[in-house]
Amino acid sequence: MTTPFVETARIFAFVIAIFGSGLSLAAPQQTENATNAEAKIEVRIENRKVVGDHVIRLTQGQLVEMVWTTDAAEELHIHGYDIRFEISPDAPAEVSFTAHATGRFAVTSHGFGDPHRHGHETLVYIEVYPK
Amino acid sequence: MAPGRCVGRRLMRLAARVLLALVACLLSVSALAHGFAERYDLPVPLHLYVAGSAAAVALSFVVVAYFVRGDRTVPRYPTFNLLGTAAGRVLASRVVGFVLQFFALFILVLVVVAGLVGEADPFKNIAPTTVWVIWWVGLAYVSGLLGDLWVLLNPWRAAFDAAEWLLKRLQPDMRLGLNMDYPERLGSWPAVVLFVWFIWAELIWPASDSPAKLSQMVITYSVVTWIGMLVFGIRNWLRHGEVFTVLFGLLARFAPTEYIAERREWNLRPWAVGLLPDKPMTLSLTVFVLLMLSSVTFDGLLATPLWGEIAQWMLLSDLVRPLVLSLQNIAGDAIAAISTIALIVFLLTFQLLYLAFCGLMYFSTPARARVDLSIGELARLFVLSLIPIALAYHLAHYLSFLLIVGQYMIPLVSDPFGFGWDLFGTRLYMVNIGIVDARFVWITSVIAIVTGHIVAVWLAHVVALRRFRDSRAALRSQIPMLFLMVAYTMLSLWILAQPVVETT
Repeated sequence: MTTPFVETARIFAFVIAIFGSGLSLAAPQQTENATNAEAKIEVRIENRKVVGDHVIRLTQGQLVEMVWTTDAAEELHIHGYDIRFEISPDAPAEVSFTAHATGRFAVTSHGFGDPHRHGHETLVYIEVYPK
Repeated sequence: MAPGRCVGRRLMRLAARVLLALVACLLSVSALAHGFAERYDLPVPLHLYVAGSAAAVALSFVVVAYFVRGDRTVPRYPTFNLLGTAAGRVLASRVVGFVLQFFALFILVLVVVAGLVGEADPFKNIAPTTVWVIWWVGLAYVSGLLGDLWVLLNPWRAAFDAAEWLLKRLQPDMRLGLNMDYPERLGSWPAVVLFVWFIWAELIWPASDSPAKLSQMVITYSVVTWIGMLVFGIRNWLRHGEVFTVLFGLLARFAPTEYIAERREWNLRPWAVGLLPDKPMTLSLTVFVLLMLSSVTFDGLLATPLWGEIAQWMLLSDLVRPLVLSLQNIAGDAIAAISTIALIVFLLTFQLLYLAFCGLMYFSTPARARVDLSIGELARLFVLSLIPIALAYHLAHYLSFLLIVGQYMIPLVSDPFGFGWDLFGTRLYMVNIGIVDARFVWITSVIAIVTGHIVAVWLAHVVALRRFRDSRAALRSQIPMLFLMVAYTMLSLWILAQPVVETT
């Protein structure tokens, strides 16, 4: 006769086997971070969209220098850090800050020169990971 | 034939154009998944996700192993009456209660007025932060972790009590309202219906961050509540119709304090013991508890890439699109329409899934051992053990939101309407986004979810041991539940570990 303990142990082995195999499939990707003290990042905007990757990954404490180039004038806003700046096709816009706080921060365009545009469109995300 | 085909083609072209517009809308709008303001959370990294899942499985094993001993005696829990202490008597005094109620009523009026006359920018108006951050998230934490503060604060109750008192002084022989008998069959269904409305407003309603619209919602809810109180009497409506009395009350069953009016006791007690019911809950409350869980999970799902794919699929599917188009005007926009359909499907699926697992529990135990409880009775008996999970989610999903966005209250108390006032000299306070580190949020979230699930497993075992005839049957009955809870833990952790996207 099996004791309740043996019975539960058997069922548990089964549960662990099922979820264990599920784990490896469902697991999210790990991100790689640059770990230099400084990061220089160039972002190019064309047709109100960022060219290339839509996520910029940083490590907490990095001194970030961003250089923005664009084909149309716009006002941008880095949320959380609450940095607002203007970009124009005439000259690259430089923004630098220290990534002191971790998190995921949207950079939105406030639709410069287009009063009908109500929404704040997200151009790119800045993700700051803990050290 | 020809005209028909022509009309058909025109319709096709129209449909294609609408579809394109919808897709464009879906891709370009980046609003927020939750009621108001944004969250800056990063996805939980892989190793924490794996560790959390492994801990959930391993700790469940520990809980079950503990109950295998077959000890069926569950002692009454220890309590400590706070009214025996001077500090406890002061806190429970009528003066403190009166001050709290007056304060809550003042806040209610402030929110309504700010919404109506104040600035339309949600960050320059005190209404959205007060409602969505301080009251909704903050008070849920207080209820679950400390005690049922809402019973004291409830401004709708305070206003009604005040009106009753006033009427008594002016017309001693008149009573306020109709005081009709509450139909027992109605149960807490009014609260369930209002809760679904509230969930929709919180998660989907495009105007939820607009102070003016929010104010209108608060007014509507106030009117509904007062009408309910007038018709059925204040006690009946608070028990069956006032969503937040029901909701915070359910969360507070986890809390380490209890108030027993008839014995004049305000007790400290161990956490979670209030979740061990003597008899099955009513069907309406069972549905309500399941809604508490499923709504938070749905909020989490809205920020995953999976949801983005589902939303795309719904737009392109011939089956769902007509429904989206017809709902679009009612819900606000296409995204809201899609989310509304998904919300309803998800809430229903969740209820059915829980019922299915209760069915498994039913069939895995012999009728004699489970004392002839039906599937429905099992569902109503075990549902309270899920409350710690709802609380854990609340902690995992909204902790950083409360700590970061909650800081907006500091400048807002000085300038509640956005008129440029500076009542307390804090108008220029800058929100500190670094107050909590991502790693702190990750670890708290994972610990909260794993702990919540383990407490749930433990509670369900205690309930089974109390109600079932022998401990072996009790143990067996819990195996389907265990599967459900471990799977649910994994789902919750998986949601936290997903890269964040904003489709809605």
